[in-house]
Amino acid sequence: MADVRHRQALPRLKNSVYSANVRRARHRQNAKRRTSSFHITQERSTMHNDPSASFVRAALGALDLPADEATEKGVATHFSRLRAMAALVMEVPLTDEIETPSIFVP
Amino acid sequence: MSEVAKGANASSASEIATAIREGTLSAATAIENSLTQIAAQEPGINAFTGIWADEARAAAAKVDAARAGGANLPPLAGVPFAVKDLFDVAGHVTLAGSKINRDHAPAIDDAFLVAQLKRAGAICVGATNMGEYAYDFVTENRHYGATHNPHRHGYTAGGSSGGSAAAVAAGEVPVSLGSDTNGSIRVPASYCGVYGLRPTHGRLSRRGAFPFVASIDNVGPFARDLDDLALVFDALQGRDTRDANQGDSVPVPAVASMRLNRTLRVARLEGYFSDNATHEVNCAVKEFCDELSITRTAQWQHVDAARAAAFAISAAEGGALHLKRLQSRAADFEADRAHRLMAGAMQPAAWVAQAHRFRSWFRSHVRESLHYVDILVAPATPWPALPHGTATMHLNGRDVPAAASGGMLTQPVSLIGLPVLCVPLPRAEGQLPIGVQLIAAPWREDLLFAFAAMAVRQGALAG
Repeated sequence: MADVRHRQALPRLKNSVYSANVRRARHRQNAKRRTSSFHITQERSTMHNDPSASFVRAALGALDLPADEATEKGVATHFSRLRAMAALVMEVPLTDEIETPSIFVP
Repeated sequence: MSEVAKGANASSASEIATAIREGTLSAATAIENSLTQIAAQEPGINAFTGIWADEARAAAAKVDAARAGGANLPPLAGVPFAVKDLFDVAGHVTLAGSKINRDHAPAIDDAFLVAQLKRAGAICVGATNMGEYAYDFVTENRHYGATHNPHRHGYTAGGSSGGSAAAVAAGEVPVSLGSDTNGSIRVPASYCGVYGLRPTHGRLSRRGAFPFVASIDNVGPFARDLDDLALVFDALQGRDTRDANQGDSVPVPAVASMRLNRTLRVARLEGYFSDNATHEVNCAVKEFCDELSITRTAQWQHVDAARAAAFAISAAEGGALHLKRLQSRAADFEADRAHRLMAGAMQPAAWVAQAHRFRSWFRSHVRESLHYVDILVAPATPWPALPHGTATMHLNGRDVPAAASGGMLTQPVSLIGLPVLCVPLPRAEGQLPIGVQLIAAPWREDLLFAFAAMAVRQGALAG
C-alpha cells in the first residue's frame, strides 16, 4: 500500500523538498548497488565509496605511479580481484610454525 | 581436414636427426624445409617475432661440412628449433613480448638452454611470440599481434608461450622452448594439441631467460611427439653453476625412461580439478582414464587457495620486477597488463606472506598424497581453445574471466614446483585439442615419461 501511495503522491510533490529527498535517496541506493560488486564499468563517483578504490588511489601516489582516472579504474578492478583471491588464502588456518621458505625447494 | 593437418606432416626431430646422420637428408635441406613451412604458415598464425634464416643456413652448412668430414654428429644435429622470445640468443634483442625491451642491447650470450640445444647440434631458426612479459594465457599481444591457433584461425593458441606451441603444432619446427610460471607451457600445449613439459622447479637452468616470478618461474620444451620431447629434455639437462635457482639434482634420462615397463600407481585428481573443467573436458579425461583402466581417484584440499596463492605471489613479484618501468614508461605497456602489475605491486605484505606460508603447507599436503601414487592425472585447461577476445565463460555455475581462468587448473600444481607432462588427448575430426596434466613427485620426470610411453603403446595417446 505504501508503494501505491507514493506513486500517487509523487506527481503532486514533484518540486517539493520531499521529492528532492526521494531522488537523493534513490541515487544513494543506486550508487551503493554499483559499488557492492566492484565492476569495470563503475563510475568514478562510486569509487570514492569503495575501500579498494581509495587504497588504490593512495598506493598509486605512494609508489610514484601514474594516477590518471583510467589507471585508477583499471588498477582498482585488478586490485579487487586480488583482494578476493587473498581472502581465499587468508581464511586457511595455518599454525604459527609454518614458515615462508626463503629459497623454494620442492 | 583440420587446418593444422595441412602443415603438420613435417618430419619429427628424431627422424630429421637420423636422416642427417645417415646421409639421406642434409641439414641445409632440413632448415630450408622449416623456413618454407614458416613462410607458408606465418601469415595465418603469427607464431614468430623473429626469423633468422641466414644464421640458420650458416649453422646448417657447418653441420653438413662436419658430416662430410666424417665427424660424429651430436644427437640433434641439423634439427630446427624455435625459442620463446624471452630466451637470450646471442646477437639478438630479447623482447619478452614487450615494446620496452626493444631498447635493450642484443644479448651477448645464449641462454643456457639455447646453448644446450646448440651443443646437441640443433639449429635455432627464430624467436616466437608470447604474452607481454609472460603475464598471460592467450598471446593476444598488442605490440606483435595475436598468435592464432593452428587448428582454428581466430582462436587463441594459449599463452604465454603461445608462439612456441603454435610453431610446433603447425609443423614450422619440430621442437621449441617455452617458459611456464603459472601454466604458460601447459595451457598452450593443451590448446594446440602438442606435448609440453614443465620440469621440477630447479631442474633446468633459467639463466638467460627473462624473468617474471622468480620463486615460481620455470622453463621447458614443446614437441609434436613424445620421443622428441624426451630427446630434447635429455639435451637440456645439465648443471649450470651460474644459476643459483637450479637444484643439485641428478639428470634423469627421459629417452631411457620410456623403455621401462614398470607398474605405476595412477590416480585421477578430482574435486577442484573436475569441478573447474567443462563437461567436454571431463569426458575426454575420463575416456583417457578408462582406456588405461585408471580407477583410483585422489583429492587435494584447499586447491582454490593454492590457485589464489599463485595469483597473489605472481602479481606481487611481477609487479615488483616491473615497478621502475611502470613508473617511467607505463604508456608503453599494454594498458591492462600495466594495471594488473601495478595492482600486484601494491598488495599488502600480509597477503603475500600468507600466500608463501600457505605454499609451504600445500607442498607438505600434496607430498603426502604422492606417497600413495606415482602419477596423478588432471585436465590441463578448463576448456579447449576459445575465440580471441572471449571475455567471460560460464563455469561451475558462475561467470569467470576467460583469459585469466585458462590457467586455473595449472596454477595450483606449479605453485609447489611439481614436474608436469602435458599430453594431448586423442580427439575426433574437427574437435579442438585438449591436454591432460600428468603429475609426479619432485624430480620424478622419469615416471612421467615411463607412463606416457606406456599410454602411447596402449593406444591411449598418439605418439
